[in-house]
Amino acid sequence: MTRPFLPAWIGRTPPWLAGPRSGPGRIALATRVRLARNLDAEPFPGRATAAHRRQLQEWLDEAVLACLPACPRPFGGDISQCGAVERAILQERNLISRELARHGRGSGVLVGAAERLAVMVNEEDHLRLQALLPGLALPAAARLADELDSALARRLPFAFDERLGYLTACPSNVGTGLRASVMLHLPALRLAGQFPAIARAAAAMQMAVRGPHGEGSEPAGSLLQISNQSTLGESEEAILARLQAAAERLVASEEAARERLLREGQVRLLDQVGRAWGILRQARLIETPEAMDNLSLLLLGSELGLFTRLGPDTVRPLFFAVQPGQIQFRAGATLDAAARNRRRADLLRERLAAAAAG
Amino acid sequence: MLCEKCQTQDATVHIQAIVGKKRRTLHLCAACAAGQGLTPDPAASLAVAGLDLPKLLAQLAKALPPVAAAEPAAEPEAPAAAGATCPECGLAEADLRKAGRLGCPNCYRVFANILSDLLPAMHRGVAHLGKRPGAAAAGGKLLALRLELAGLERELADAVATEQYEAAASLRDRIAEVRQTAAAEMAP
Repeated sequence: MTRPFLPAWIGRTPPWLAGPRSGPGRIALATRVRLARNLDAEPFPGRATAAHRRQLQEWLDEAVLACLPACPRPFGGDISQCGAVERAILQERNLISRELARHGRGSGVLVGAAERLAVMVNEEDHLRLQALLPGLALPAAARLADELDSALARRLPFAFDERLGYLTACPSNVGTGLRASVMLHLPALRLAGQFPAIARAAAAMQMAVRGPHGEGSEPAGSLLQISNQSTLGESEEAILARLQAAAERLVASEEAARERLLREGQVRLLDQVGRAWGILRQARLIETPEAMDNLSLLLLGSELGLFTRLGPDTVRPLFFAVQPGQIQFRAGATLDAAARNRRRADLLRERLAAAAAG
Repeated sequence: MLCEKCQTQDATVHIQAIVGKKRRTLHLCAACAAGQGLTPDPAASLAVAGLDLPKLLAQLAKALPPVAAAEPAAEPEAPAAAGATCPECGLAEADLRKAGRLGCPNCYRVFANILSDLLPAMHRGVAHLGKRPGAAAAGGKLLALRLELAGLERELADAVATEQYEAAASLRDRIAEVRQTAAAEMAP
């Protein structure tokens, strides 16, 4: 295939970050629903030989491209066509996992429906179908993934057991193969020191809490991803209903924590947001986590109306723009950490100066 | 925090695990974690962030007696399962215990014994109640029942949360009925 791996617009803010500015979508930024599927009678990707994996990939790619909506044209292909910066960008857009970013030839990703659908091929499972939507949109994301799954099932023989459901390489995904997650921005809960309590509550509800880029990622910028852990023993609807309830509860807690801050913690709030503004306006070198933590406070401040000129529309895209892959993409070069920190600080000063003047 | 095993070193490995029906967090130093078979050696504990849950669970299931103590601790391994190898993909039991990953769909039959210990610790149930391939047409009734069930379960949670116990009791009965109908529908 000769189509370019990534489209020219890949540096734009991902659609899932451009969600609603009011209602639960102000706090529940994005929703993802992922289904793990495997071919019957074939070794899982981790067990297949390199040659066999490439054969399977050809078969899988063909089926996926036939099932993804043709408009706009899907992009992607074999991950070996991607350099380090492109892999980082795909990961930052939540289109591929950290694991796939480490794979070589024989694994890849196909992205369709303007990034609302992304299919990882030969990651841990033969197929990982993902639907990504802005805001809190579990039913809509589940429907998107489900439709793609049903279309694929007409072309591919999926490994399915009457008792255990869809069979996956890791037994933690068996059954529905469904992992749904909601990305939440919870700065007021973090200021209130509630993150450990959230982790405990999530564990009690058998939900996993992770950083913004999924498994293995550090929490930064007060962004948390909450997802179901159990995939077997309940229906898709029941899993989604439990996650929806957990996400709604966290949104309500964050709203309450914001009100409490405005009521009882105004000085602290102004201090924290003011410091963040100062750092981001003045820093000459800044690492990603520090940038995200301060942007999170700016976003909180802008959402609570503490700024006259700075709105959430300016701050939100910066969460993405400060990521290492994006910084290098914009520079058109591979940069070491020191150079990235410098460019990141430059970018923040420039964007925030424009916003302050605007 | 000190390691809960040796009580001398700092705990640097924190592992959440479900053993039996109970969830517990283990706080161990690198050496004790390695001693429990949770990390290959202390040096490897530097890669704590990269440890994978299934592997830990697989090893925990082996290393620790169940907390619930309802079942006898650590049964001797069934001789039939020890050293089993999948004839389709060649995955050996040792590979499964090491990597926590199966090699192919057939592995689920070959290693059914190991999985039957592992799955209840990972999931809320042991039987699939969700979608089936090609079930879009056939599953109409089942889907309706599942949707009803999900709705009823939410209502039940709300009823319990707001202490409406009479409503909760009747919801619970209705859920049992729908579950039974769904089970009958799913039976081949």
